[in-house]
Amino acid sequence: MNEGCQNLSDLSNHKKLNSANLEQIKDLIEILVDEETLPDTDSESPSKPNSNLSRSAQPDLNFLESDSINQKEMATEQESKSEEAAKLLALTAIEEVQGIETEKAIPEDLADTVNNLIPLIVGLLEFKLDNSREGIIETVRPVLDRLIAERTLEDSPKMAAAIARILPAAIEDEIRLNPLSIARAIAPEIALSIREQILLDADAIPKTLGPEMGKAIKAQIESERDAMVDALYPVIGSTISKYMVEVVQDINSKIERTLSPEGIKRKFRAKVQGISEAELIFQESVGYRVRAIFLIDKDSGLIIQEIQIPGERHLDSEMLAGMLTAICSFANDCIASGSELDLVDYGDWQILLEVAGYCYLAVIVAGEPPRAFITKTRQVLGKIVMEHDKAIQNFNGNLADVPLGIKTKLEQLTETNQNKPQSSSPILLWLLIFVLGLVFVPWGISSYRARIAHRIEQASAIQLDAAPELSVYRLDPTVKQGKLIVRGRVPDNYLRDRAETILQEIAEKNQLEIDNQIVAVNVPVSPNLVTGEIQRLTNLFNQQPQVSIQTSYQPKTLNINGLVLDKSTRQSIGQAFQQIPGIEQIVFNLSEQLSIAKQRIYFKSGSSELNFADNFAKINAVKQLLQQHPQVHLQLVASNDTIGSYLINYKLNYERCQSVKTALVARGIQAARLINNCNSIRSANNQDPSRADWLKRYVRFEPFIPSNFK
Amino acid sequence: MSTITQKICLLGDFSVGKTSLVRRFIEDKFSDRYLSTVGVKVSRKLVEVKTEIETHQINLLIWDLEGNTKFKSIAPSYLKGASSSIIVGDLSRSDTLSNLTQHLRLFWEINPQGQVAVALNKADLIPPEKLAKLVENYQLDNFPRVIGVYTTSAKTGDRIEQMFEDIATVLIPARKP
Ligand SMILES: Nc1nc2c(ncn2[C@@H]2O[C@H](COP(=O)(O)OP(=O)(O)OP(=O)(O)O)[C@@H](O)[C@H]2O)c(=O)[nH]1
Ligand SMILES: [Mg+2]
Repeated sequence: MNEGCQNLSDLSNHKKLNSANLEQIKDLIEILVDEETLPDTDSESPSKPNSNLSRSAQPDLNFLESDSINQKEMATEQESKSEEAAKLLALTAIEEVQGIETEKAIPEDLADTVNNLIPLIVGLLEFKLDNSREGIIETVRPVLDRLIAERTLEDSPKMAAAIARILPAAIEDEIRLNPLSIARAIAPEIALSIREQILLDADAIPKTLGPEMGKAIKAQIESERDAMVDALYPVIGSTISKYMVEVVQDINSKIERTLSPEGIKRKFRAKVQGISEAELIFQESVGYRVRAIFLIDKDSGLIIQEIQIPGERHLDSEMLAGMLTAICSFANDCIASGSELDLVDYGDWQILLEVAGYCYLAVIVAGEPPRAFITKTRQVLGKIVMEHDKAIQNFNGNLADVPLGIKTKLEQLTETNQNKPQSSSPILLWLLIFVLGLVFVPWGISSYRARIAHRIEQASAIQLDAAPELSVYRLDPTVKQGKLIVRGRVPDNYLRDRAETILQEIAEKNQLEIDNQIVAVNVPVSPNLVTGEIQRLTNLFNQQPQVSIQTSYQPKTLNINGLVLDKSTRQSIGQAFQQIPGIEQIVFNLSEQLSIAKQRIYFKSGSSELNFADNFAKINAVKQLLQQHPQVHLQLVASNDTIGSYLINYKLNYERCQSVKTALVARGIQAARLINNCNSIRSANNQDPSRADWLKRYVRFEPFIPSNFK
Repeated sequence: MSTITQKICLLGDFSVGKTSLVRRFIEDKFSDRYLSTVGVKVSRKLVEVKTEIETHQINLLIWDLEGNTKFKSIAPSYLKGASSSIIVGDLSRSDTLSNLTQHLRLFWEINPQGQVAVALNKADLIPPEKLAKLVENYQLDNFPRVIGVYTTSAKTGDRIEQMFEDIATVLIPARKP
């Protein structure tokens, strides 16, 4: 059809025509007429204009149903008028062409005629285009789905290729015309297809959606603010409320700074009476000081990183972190679950706590840190968590594994910690501070000194009390004008000096001079006092399992009888009694050191059988000792080698002790005096690794004297 | 020489002697007075363990927890992050011994990889001839990750050092390849 149009426009452009052209035109019109629904003028009645097409379509579309034919006929009837006009047009055209041929006209006439024909042909063509498209569509529509189905079965790739080309445009069209139904059609599969895509390429979906998320949230906040607030509150609520409290405090303090003279006067009076606002400003003018920073594992309370400022008293960070963690988890469990403790305040000190993920930061500060500092701690912790969260999460107690970056970040917090309040404060405020300073600085300094002094006095008293020989005397340490003065009475110069040496250390640490005002009253010792003290010490020593002694005192001489199972205890017994005034000589009357502790009974690998031949002498020696000292009991303790499992060694140890015990009982020793303490195993790792295995398998004896045998 | 820090918890019924065990281990002291622990008491001791290859320092942070009573159970959050625990029973009170497995379970619920030592305490109160029999009933070796069962006495100091040493030994980190 396109070709026909092309020829026609050629014709109209070239006015010069020859007979060949004329032939072409004639052919063309005939083709048009033949294809068209025009009746054969001789045989067919013009009342059935479409029968030609219907007939020719039928063999191909033999599944056409009868009612669709009816429908089609009704539709075509409506168009019959315009078809009639087309028929007329076509007939005229044919006649004209035939006329030209028969008269054999000259070329000029021919051209004229053709020129007259052109509008006719164009009209005819247009009609054919309009009419036949409608007709074809009308005919094909009812069977299109089946056509497509069959065709798809035959050659689906081709079909797909064919449809693919128009699919985007088709969908676009449909969305424009009927957006709702498209949405309904696709909706159920969207979730599934996203899930599939995530499986295929986990990053793609976040990458695609990410940039839009911000916009989406923003839009959602605009349209449904309350719902968004509700959704987000559990996450950021506490952070915001914390922040708000600080903002309000900040505003308050700003308001306080811009006061009228009257207001300041009133405030001043309030402060003179000791109200806290004064302290606030005072502290602000004093600044704050960071003492230590700890990054702590939230669950275990172990320290991940610590910074202690040199010059401050060193803190036992591990215990502190442990207790802090316990307090935090207690508070979380029992007081406010879900929220976190964020400040511990004690005296001049504060512990700021910031929690994040698997760890928390504890900053110990003196004074009142400004808000900017608190903000900074949050930022630093944020950075640490962002960069090192993996290392923190996997922390296993080994400080060597902690990334260096954490320390450098924490150190930022110690840098500018001597903040002064901004210099932009109004002059009035400075005046106020000056006046307050006149009042409070001396007061503050003296109260600070008093507190320090009190602390030193307490520490001294505790130290004195901790020395057993001094604990019975009342000694009174006081701090005054650079001196540590100690008063009291003790029976002799030895104890006086002893007290001094104990206090020396404390005095040096605090740069104080010692003023020893203890009086050594050389009381003529009352025998009662001496025997009382001797009895006290005797009982004290007898509480130890290696000691069973009796003491008797004649003026100046003390006799000690009994058993002391090890050498060092024997020495300390001597020293302790020597210090009792009134004792000048001590006579030891102790049985010889027990050599039992050195006896070891060795065993064969994997066996608990006691080899009597080898161990006869040892067993006998033990037996004799036990018979000599009826109060002595023995604990049997086994060691094992590294061969075999825990369980095997555990059993072996138990059985080895049992066979030693049996051997001794068979020799007349009461079973009750032998305690098999082999029901846990001695970890072989603790033994000297260079030793031979057989040297690791033994049972040894630990003598002791039960309290009811003393 | 390497140093690592590890958290270790003591748990068991009230008055079985948890605090006394820790006190004996750290200060080598004992008192007959009973002062019930409230909440937690954290203490610390550095333990050295020699192996064939090197000496390890293990810094034990010992959490002595409040014992549970009929009315109050142990707060699980105190157990978090502990690499090991000592479960304590009182040999003179059989109910505290039958509760041992319950404590074991609680601990493992929170620290599935945790190591456990079982201390059957107050061994000094039990006549030696009865001790072995009594102890036999509470062999918990069929549990994995039980380091051992120890008949301890905070009063005499028996087996305590040993127990802590064994725990420290199993806490030595595996050598990295
Ligand atoms: N005879 C004896 N008494 C002990 C021993 N260990 C502890 N006791 C006593 O048992 C009592 C309770 O000891 P604690 O150590 O306070 O017990 P606890 O388990 O810490 O108790 P809670 O903190 O309340 O859970 C105290 O009177 C101790 O003197 C022991 O080995 N032998
Ligand atoms: Mg306790």
